[in-house]
Amino acid sequence: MASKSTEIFLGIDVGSVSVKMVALDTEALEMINFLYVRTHGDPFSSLRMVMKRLAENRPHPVVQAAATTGSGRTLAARLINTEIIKNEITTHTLAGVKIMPEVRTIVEIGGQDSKIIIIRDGMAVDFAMNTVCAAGTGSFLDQQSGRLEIAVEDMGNIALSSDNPATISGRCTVFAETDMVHKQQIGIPTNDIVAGLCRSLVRNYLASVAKGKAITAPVVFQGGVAANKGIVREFQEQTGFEFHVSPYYGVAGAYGAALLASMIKDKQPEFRGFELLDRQHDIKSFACRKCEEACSVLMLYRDGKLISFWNDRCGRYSSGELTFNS
Amino acid sequence: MKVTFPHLGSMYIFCKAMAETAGIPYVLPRPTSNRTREIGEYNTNESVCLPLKIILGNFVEALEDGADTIVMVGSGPPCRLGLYDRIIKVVLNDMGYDFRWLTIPGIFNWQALLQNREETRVLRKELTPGNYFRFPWAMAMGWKKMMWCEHLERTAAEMRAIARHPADVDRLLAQGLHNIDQAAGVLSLSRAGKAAVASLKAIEKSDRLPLRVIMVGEVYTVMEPSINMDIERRLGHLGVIVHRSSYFSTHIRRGSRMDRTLLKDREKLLKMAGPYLNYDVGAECNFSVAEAVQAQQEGYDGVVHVYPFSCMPETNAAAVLSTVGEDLNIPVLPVVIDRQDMGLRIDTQLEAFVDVMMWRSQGRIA
Amino acid sequence: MKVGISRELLAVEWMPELIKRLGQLAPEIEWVHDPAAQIHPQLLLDGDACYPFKKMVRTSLSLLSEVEVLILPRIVSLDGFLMCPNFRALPDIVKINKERTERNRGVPLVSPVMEVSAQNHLEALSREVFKALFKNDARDHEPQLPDNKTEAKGLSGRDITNSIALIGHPYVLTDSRLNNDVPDILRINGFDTVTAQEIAFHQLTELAESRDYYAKKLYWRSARETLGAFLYFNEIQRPAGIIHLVPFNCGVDALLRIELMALHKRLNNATPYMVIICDEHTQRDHVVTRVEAFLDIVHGIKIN
Repeated sequence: MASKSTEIFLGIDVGSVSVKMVALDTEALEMINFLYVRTHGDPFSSLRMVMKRLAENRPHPVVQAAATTGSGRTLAARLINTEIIKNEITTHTLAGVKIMPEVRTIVEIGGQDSKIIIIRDGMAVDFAMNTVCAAGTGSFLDQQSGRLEIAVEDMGNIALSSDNPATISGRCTVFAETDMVHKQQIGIPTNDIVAGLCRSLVRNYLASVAKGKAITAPVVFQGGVAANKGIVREFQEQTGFEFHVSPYYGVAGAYGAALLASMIKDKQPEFRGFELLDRQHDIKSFACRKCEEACSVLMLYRDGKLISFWNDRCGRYSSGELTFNS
Repeated sequence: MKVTFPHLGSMYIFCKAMAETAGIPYVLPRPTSNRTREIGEYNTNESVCLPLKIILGNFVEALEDGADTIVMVGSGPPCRLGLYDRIIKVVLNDMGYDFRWLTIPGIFNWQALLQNREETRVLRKELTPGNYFRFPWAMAMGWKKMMWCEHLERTAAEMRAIARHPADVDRLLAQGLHNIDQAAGVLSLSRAGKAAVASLKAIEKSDRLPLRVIMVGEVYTVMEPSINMDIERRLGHLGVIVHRSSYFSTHIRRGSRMDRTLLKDREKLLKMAGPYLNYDVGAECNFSVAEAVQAQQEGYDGVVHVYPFSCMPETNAAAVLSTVGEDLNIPVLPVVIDRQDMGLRIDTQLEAFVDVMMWRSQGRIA
Repeated sequence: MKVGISRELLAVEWMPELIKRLGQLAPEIEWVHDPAAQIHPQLLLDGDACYPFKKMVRTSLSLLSEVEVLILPRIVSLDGFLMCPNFRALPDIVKINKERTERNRGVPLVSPVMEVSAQNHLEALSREVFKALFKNDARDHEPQLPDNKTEAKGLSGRDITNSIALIGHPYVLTDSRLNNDVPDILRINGFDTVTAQEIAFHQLTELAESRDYYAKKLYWRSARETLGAFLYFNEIQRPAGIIHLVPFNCGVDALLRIELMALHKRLNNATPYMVIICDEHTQRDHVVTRVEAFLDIVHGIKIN
C-alpha cells in the first residue's frame, strides 16, 4: 500500500488457454506482482483481469514500458497500446537466462505448446516448437485429470506415488486417451495410469519437439507443466540430466516480456491498459474486397470511436493508408 | 481444346503467354486456396505429399471451369514427383472427370518422347497450322516474360527487407507481375518490366540492416507461396532478404541439359554435400545440404529449409542439416509444411529465428 | 570376426544370398543381427521418416557396440527397379550418428552401393565387401565360390483359399514390431498367411506392367511387388482376403494405396482388401478389433 505510485515494467503473455502477467519494479527488477489465469478463450476479459489485479494497489502503478507475448500478442498490444511485441521463444529465453545465466537448454511445456531452446552464452542459438502434432501438452493433462476426477495440481504427487507406470501409447491425444481408458477398464490403479501419462508425455516430447537437439546441462524447465513433479521425475530419468524448475515456471513468458520491456530505451507511447477497466472496447470486422485475399480486417473501437486496424495482410489499413466506411 | 496447367509461383504468366501467343485456348486455374487444398486432401491420404494434393486441387478446379486438356511437367525417380501424373490421372478418373493429358518431359529421353507422341496423337489434330507456326515465338515470349518475372521477384526480395513500408513492395510486385502478364508485345513487355523494377528500387528505405538467408528444400515448396505459407514475404517483412536458387527457369535449363555451367554447378554442389551425403539421394536432398554448406561459406546469416511433410528426400536432408548447422555454426530453420493452417505458428518461429540470427550477427534482438 | 548386419535388412531381396556368399568366402565370420542392448532413441538424428527406417538406424547403431565392423549397403536398386530413396541416405544417417557419439566412432562402416539384378552382380558385390572387410589380410587368392542355386519360388500347388494374403514391404511383413503383430493375430483367429514374397518377383513385376505406360513405369521395386501381388491375389489365385500393411508416413505406399483403392473399385468381385497402418505406437487391441472386423467380412457375415 504505497502512498506514491510505483513505476513498473509490465509483461503480458496471452496464451491459448491462459493469460499471464508479470510486473517488475523499475529499480531492482524484482517481481512485485504477477497473475496466472485461465481464459476460456476470451482475450478481452483476460486482459481486464490483468488490469484489475494491477489496479488493486492504490494509486495504481505507472507503467514505464510494457511488452506482450504469446499467441494473442498482437491484439493485446493494441488494447494496451504498446509497440513491444515479441514471440514466446525469445521471451522464454530471456526469462530462463535471467534466473540461470549459465543455462544451456530450456525445456518448456505449456497449455497447447511445447518448445525446446538451446542457449549458448546467454543467447538462443537453436529452438524447436511442436509442429505436426503433440500428444503431450498441458491441455492433455488437464483433460485427463478432469476425466480421472483428480485435481491437475495433484497429478504430480499421484504420479510419484507409483513405482510402476503403465505404458500408454498413441500417436495423438485421442489414441493415447483410448489406451488410457483401456488400462482403466482392465483395472490398473489410477496412480500407475497417471505416472504412465507423465512417462508418455515426456517420451513424446523427446521424440518430437526435442528430436535431434542435444540436451545439455544445466537445464531449466518452464511452462505450466513444470509444476508436475511426476513429469520432472520422468524427464530426469529419461534424459539423465537434472531439470531445474524455474521459480517463475508458470509465468516465464510474461516475465521475459517484462524483462524485454525494461531493456528498451526508446520513449514509449502512453500506456492505455487501465482504460480497459472503465471504457467500452469492441472489436468489429469487415471483409476487405480489394484483392483476392479477402482478409477479415479487424477494428478496435474504444468508447465507440474507431482507433485501430489490424489483421490486414497488405498492411494498408494498419498503416493508416486506407480506412473503413461502414 | 482448352488447356490448363498447375500453379507454381509466377509460372502461370509463362504458360498464359505461351498459350495466348500460340493461339491456344486455355483455362487459368483458380488461385490456390483452402478449397484447393481440401480437394486434394479429401481425395488422397495423409502421407501424400502436399504438392500432389495442391496440384490435384488446381486441376479439379480448372476442369470445373471448363478445361479439358491438362499439361503437366514430368519428372524423374526416385522421389514421388515422377509419379504425379500417373497418380493424379488415377484420382481424376476415379472422380469421374473426362480429360486429356500431356506431360512435358522433365528429362528429355526416348521414353518420354515416345509417351509424348502417344499423348499428342489426339491433341495434334485439334491444333491449326497457325498454332504450330507460332510455337517458337510463343516459347520466346513465354521465356522473356518469365525472366522478367524472376528478375522482379528477386528485386522484391531485396527491397522488401530494407523498405520502410514492406507492404508497398508487395503491392508493387503484384502490380508489376500483372503488367508483365498483360503486356502483349516485346516492347510493351520490356517497358512494363523496366518500370516495375524501377518502382521497386525507388521505394522509401528504412535504415535497418537486413539479414540474408538462403531458402532450400523441395522444389515445389520453395517456389509456390501458397504451399510455403508465403514465407519469402513473411521473412521480408521481418527484414530478411531471401535468396534461392530454385526458379522455374533454372529447372528448365537444367532439364533440357543445354546449360553446361548449370550442370557443372550441380556437380560441384554434390561434392560439397559429400562429407555428409555420399550418394545422390534424389530430388533436391543433396542440394539442400550443399547449398547450406555454401551459404555458410558465403556469409549468409542463416538457412531456411522448407519441405512438405513426408517428403522422403527432404526428410533425410533435414536430419543431415541439423548436423551441418551445428558443425558449421550457422542457424538452420526447418519448416515442415503439412496440412494445418499454420500462419501464426510460422510467424512465431520466423520471428524467433530472426532473433537468433540477430543475436549472432549483431549481439542484440530485433 | 564379428560382423553386423541389422536384422531388418535380412528381409530385403538378395541380402540373405549376399550373407551366404560372404560366409563362403570367409567362413570365420560370426554374424550378429540383433543387438543385445538398444541405443537410447532420443539421442538419435533419425529424421521423420517411416518407422522401419528409424528402426534400421537404431539397430545398426546399437550393433556397433558389439561388432568389429558393420555392413550397411547402400541399396539403390534390386532386380532392375529402384528402392525407396531413404535407403540411399541410410548409411550416411548412421554414419552421422556414429560420429556424434564417442564410443563407437572407431567401428568401420562398410557401405558399398548395391545394384543387384543377377547372380554375377551379387558375386561382384560379395567380393567387394570381402575386400573391404579383409583389406589388411593378404590372401593368396580369393576362394572360389561354389555354384549357388536359388530355389524357384511359387505358390502353385498350394491352396490359399483359406489364407489371408499380406502385402507390403518385405521388411515390414517379417518383423513383429513393424507388422503390428498382424500375422500372429490372424493365426489366433484361425487363418494362416501367405505373403507377396512367396511369389517369384518376375511374375509380380509382369503383372504390375499391365498398369505401366511409357515413361510412367512404377519405378519402385516394393511398389511393383505389392501391386503385382494385389493383382495376383485377385486374378490368379484368390485368398480369403488381402491385408496391406503400410508404415505410417511411407511415401511409396501413400501413392500405392491410391492406385490400389481405385483398382479395387473397378474389379468385379474383388478379393476383400484392407489397409492397416503400422507405426511405433502399437496398440494391439486396436489392431485386433480391425482384423476381427475384417475377418467377419471375409466370413461373409450378413446383417439381417
